[in-house]
Amino acid sequence: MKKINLYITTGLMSFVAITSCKKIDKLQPHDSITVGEAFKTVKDAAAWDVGTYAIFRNNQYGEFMVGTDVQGDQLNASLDYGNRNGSEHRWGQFFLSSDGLLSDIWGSYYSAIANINTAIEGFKTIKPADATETASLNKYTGDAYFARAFYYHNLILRFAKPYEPSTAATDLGVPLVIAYNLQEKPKRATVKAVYDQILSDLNTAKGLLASVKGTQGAQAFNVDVVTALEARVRLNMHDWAGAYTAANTLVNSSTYQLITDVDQFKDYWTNDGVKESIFQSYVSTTQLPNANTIYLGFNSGNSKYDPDFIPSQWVYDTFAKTDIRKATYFDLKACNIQGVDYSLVLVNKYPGNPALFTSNVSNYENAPKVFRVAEQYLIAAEAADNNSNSSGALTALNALRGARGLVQISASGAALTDSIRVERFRELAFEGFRLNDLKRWHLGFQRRDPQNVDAIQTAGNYYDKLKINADDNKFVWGIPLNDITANLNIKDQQNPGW
Amino acid sequence: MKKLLLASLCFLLLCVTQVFAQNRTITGTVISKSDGLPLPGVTVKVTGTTIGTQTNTSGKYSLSVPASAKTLTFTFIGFADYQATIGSGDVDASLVASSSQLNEVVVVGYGSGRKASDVVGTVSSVSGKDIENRPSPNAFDALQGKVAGLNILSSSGEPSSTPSLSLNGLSSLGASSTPLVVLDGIPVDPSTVLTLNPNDIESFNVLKDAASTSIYGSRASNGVIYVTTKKGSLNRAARITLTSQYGVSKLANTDFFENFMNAAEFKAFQVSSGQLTQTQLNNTLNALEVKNADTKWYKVYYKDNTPQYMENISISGGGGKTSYYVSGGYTKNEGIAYRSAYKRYTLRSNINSVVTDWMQFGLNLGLAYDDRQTNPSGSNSTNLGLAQLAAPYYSPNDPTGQQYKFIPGWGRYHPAYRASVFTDANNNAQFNPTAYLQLNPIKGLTLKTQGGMDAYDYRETPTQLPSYLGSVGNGNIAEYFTRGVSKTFTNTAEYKFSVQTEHHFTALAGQEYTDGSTNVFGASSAGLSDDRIVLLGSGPNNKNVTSTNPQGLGNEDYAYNSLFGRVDYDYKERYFVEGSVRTDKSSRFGINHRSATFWSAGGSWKAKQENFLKDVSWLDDLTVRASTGTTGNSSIGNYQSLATVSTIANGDASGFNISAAGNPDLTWEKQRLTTFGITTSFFDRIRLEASYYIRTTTDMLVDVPFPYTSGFSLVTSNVGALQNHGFDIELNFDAWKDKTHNGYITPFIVANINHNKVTSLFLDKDYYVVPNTGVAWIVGKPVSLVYPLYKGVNSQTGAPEWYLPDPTNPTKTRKDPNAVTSEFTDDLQQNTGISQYPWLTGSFGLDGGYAGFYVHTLFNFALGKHLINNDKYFYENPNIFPGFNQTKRVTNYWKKAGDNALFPDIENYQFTQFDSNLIENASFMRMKELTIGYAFPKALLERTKVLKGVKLFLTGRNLFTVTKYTGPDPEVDSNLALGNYPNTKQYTFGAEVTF
Repeated sequence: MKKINLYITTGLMSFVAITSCKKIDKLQPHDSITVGEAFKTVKDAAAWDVGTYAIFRNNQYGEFMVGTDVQGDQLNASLDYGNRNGSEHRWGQFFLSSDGLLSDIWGSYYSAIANINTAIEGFKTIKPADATETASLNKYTGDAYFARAFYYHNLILRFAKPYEPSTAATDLGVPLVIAYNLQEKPKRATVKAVYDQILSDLNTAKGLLASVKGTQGAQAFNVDVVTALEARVRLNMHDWAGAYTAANTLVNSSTYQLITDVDQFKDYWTNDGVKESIFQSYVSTTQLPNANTIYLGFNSGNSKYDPDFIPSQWVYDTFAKTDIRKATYFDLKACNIQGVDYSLVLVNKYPGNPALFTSNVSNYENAPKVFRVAEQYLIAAEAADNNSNSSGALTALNALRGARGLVQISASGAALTDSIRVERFRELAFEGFRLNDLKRWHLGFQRRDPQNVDAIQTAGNYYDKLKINADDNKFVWGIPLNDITANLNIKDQQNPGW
Repeated sequence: MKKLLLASLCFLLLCVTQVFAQNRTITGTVISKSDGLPLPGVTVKVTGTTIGTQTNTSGKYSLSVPASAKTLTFTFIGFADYQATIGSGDVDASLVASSSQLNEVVVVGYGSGRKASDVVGTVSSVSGKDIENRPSPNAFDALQGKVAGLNILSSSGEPSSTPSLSLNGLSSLGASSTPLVVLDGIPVDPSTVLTLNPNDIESFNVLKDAASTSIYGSRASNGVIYVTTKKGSLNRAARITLTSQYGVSKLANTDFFENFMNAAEFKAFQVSSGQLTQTQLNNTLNALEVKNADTKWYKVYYKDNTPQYMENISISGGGGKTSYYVSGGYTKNEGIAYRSAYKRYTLRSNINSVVTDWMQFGLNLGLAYDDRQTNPSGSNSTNLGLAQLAAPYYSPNDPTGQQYKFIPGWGRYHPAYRASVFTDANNNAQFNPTAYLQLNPIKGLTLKTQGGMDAYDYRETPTQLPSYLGSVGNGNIAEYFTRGVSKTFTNTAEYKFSVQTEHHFTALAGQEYTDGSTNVFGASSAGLSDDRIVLLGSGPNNKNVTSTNPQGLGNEDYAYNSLFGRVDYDYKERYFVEGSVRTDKSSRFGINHRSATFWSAGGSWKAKQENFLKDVSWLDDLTVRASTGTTGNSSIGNYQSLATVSTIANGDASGFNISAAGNPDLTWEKQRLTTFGITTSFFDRIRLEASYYIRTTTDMLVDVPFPYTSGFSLVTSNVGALQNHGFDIELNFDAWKDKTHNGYITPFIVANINHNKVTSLFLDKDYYVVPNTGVAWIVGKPVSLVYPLYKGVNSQTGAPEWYLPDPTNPTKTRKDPNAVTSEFTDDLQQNTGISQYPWLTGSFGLDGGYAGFYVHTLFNFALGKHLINNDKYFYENPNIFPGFNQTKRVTNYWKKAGDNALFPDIENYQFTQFDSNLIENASFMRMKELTIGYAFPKALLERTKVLKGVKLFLTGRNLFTVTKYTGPDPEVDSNLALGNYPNTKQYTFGAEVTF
């Protein structure tokens, strides 16, 4: 009896010992697969392509857009802004290379680039079964090249000096990573090298996406989207002729039209219409983009607005009464800031699409309108003006003015340049362009003329009285401290003033 | 030949006995000394022979013994052996229960345990008596300050929080420093201890040195806390214990809150500082319904005297072969913040049975069900952590005294209202079974197979009620289910044998397998319209399903497989040596780097047993010990060696994106630990244990910074080295003893002195600042705080000034009064020379008693602890946060040349920057425990014939705090203090009745 029990127990023990060894080497995550498994078929490539779009959406709006606008000259910080976005708004000693805004944007773009580089390399290993699959794979590859060009362009705009033809070949750009390598510690490439890469990627994308036609409000990249970015890039690199040609392709296309009616225009911004959109990211209540929360701040407790940032009076006044943008981009709201009631004009360009609300009040979610045709009119005008083609400039400018309810003008020289700049200011207000424009034009600014000085931060001279000289060092953002620390090769390549 | 001779001799002897013996019969009664009741089944033998019998049901026996017999030996499981001289009459025996035997046996990792005094390793034991009836639901709270070197800090006043634990310093810069917690032989998550009824715990054994921890190899580099639950004893009448307690909680310390400006002060400050003109202020005040309010906001955000209850019942005892301990417990704790509570039901059944003389088994079942509510508004939230920013002239109540739902002016919902519309029911069902079967097939050999689980089902239901004013008629709800199971199976074989009676050997071999998994799913819906019907299925909109819970936990698995062995040897129970080896394999590491082998060697010497010390009468004990060995640490995420791709959706399609960089070379973090110790007692009054240790951690699992251009900013890698060394001291002495009245006063001191030092880093760096933490790792220095070093305000210009760091070496602290700047930049960062971690931690206190009265008090302390008081950035920064209330200190700012002010010129400078001004000394001393009780005398109770014991006691926790720290709570265990929910103090009254 005793012996039998002994055998049973010993048997049990060895059973446990043997079965227990089974799975240590086989454990795999449930929510992911290894990179090596992710490039087997064109279906896998399709999944990477979906990822490209999802990441693209996540890199629009929110701090990707408002960061530069808060830093610019159009907004005042409310008494209740609680230091949110405070560092870039105050410039100087408040805005440092350890700032989260810099690392968020730099980090997000490079993370997206890492995905794209991985995808582009992986796609080369996939063997399409037939012509349909080949076409699909080309489309996915084209999407990847386009997105990479987009990210590098935004990086070079923010983290390097403006492109100047005479110095671009020596000015420091951003590190150029075009193949995924975790261990690589790249130096900064020159501004020119980065722009060359952008053009090269755009060219590749254009070829691969040649057969994908543009549509209003397209949620996928296509030949028009590539052209729209190309126009933007060429304008920034002073290729006036190239920018003019690219922009005019879209201006003259019958696909996209400018909205002329105020109600339609409000509907376009609130309910994410498509008429002016060359590209607009897919959104839904479960795939929300970044929210633009700083302008309204509706407080359901007292049903009043409590914004972080309030547009200055002079900004509002820049818009004529007849301008359909005035009634669309702004709205007079009953505010309560630190317990005191105010009636203030607030930025209402992103009131939130009711279809995306997850409760009774707005979550300030709108579909990111990454490329609008209106911008192409302004690119055409500015490029033509710089190329001494004032009639071309006036044609584009007046077309836009007319659509928005403004009279036609016939200026020339400095007055024309100024009109184009003011129009750009108005049309693209709060879409994240302003700071880059000032940087390209080598202009400084002085914040002034707030709507109600009692409702805003006025301490020191870094809020409503801030004066920034042309080409102030902090127009160009600093390389995030993390990369200066972790990449010994760019340790000595920080931007001046950071 | 020899055998033949022996056999003949035996035969002869037998004949002699047969022929010459004149037997006589001895009778007697055997009782239990503690209760005087007869003991049946006691073995009675003539000492040194096989002649024997057993007592009957009334404890009586009758035994025929040879005339030569001199003494009888009484043996009974659960009682100490007893010898009695055979005289002329009855031989009665009164046996003493040997429950204390349990305390003397220490389990040092597998095997059958050994006498505490024979353990080679450094093990500190804390008895259940020191843990029970404490006014905190978490048994770890009661362990605070009890073991030298075991640093326990409670960072939050949330009743369901688990304190942080670390043993003998910081073991790693990246991986966790929390010790391995083993419950009745099964490794469990430290948070499982929250679900244990503290009154069920028999003892905590803290395994500190390599000799005791290496056998746990994997995961033991932070030490091991071995939790043993109570057992019954064989042959013991049932003992029923009822305990009931009631108490209240309050803020532990209100100094911080009382330091804010009142309404008059704040109004005056706003005008005098130029933040508001008198007209603007009047506008603000006129807009308010309630005039002349002067609100102390902490009294709005924190409740006072919140109740707590504890009820426990346990029954323990045992028959001839089976013993049992069964208990039930209920505790309810209401936190002082809104939506903060803990309610727990526990059940435990521990059964052990000696089936035959060669087989026994045991089954421990621990069950707990709890409901938790935690306040979500901690860090940087003006709904709790930063609520003191509310201007005191706002009122939480309307002019009729009714609570506002939405507080005018302050512009936030009242915390009571928020708690009522944003509910978040959490509950946890916990199951901790352990079973073992043990065989002793031949003398000295013990085979044991054991299995157990640490399993829970956690459900969380965050809800926004439809009546919430912010979204009337459109509530939402989510439900998350998390199941976590960790299973451990252990098989051991232990063989004990002696050679020539003086050489004792124990050899142990074993195998252990652990696997763990979590499974999660969650769903949510919106559009709820009625507060009375809030179910997941009732919301028509935004239906969504996830596989991750709000804590970020998803579906994961891990596994370990280990083989181990140990050999112990002693000579005459005077010289002890032992060695162990263990090999571990973990799924968490790179496919080719999963296995590692750990070892230890140690020895001890009981010097008092030597002839030259035997006669030194004042010395009661002197034992010295030394050990060295290695252990591993694998407390990182589950799949960090793998480069992975996870899903991300766009439109109707699910896509791929890279989710982890992976590191195929990832392997075990290793630690070498060497300890020297001494245990001594003298004059029958003074007891001292001291040890010195040195821990070296290499191949640390650290999140190493990568440039963002790689796609990742941090990748877990094996890098660098860290060293800790220090002393543990436990001392207590009888200051006064009065044996006749059971009187005593025994003061005690428990202390640890620790120094940590980073000895190497990565990327050939000798300096690394962990981003956004203010913490730097500097080779050759302890983990230090780095910030711009604040000099103060220039009395002539009113400008703030910072010392310029040494341009060539920011690791050097440079305080050159001639090298200062008033311009604040990132480049000003330098080593402040301030260490984050305390160099001295511990406790002191005393135990005392006289007749039935007893008193116990314990003061917990930490010296050299520092915190970055991040809250100050908000509370002392009036020009960054105008309109928000501030501490009274801000009125002391520079106004004219010659002012020696705390803060700079308000016109031109920010008051508070992220600089050394925020770093505060958070050393503290806290009266952690005070108990005063009275136990009714036995003589009185015996008359009732029912009661065996009655005890009444008053208990306090955190009754007072001494600190220089100006934030809400110095005990926070972190580099940064950010809107913490501070610790609470408790007063409770309790009664314990034993039947």
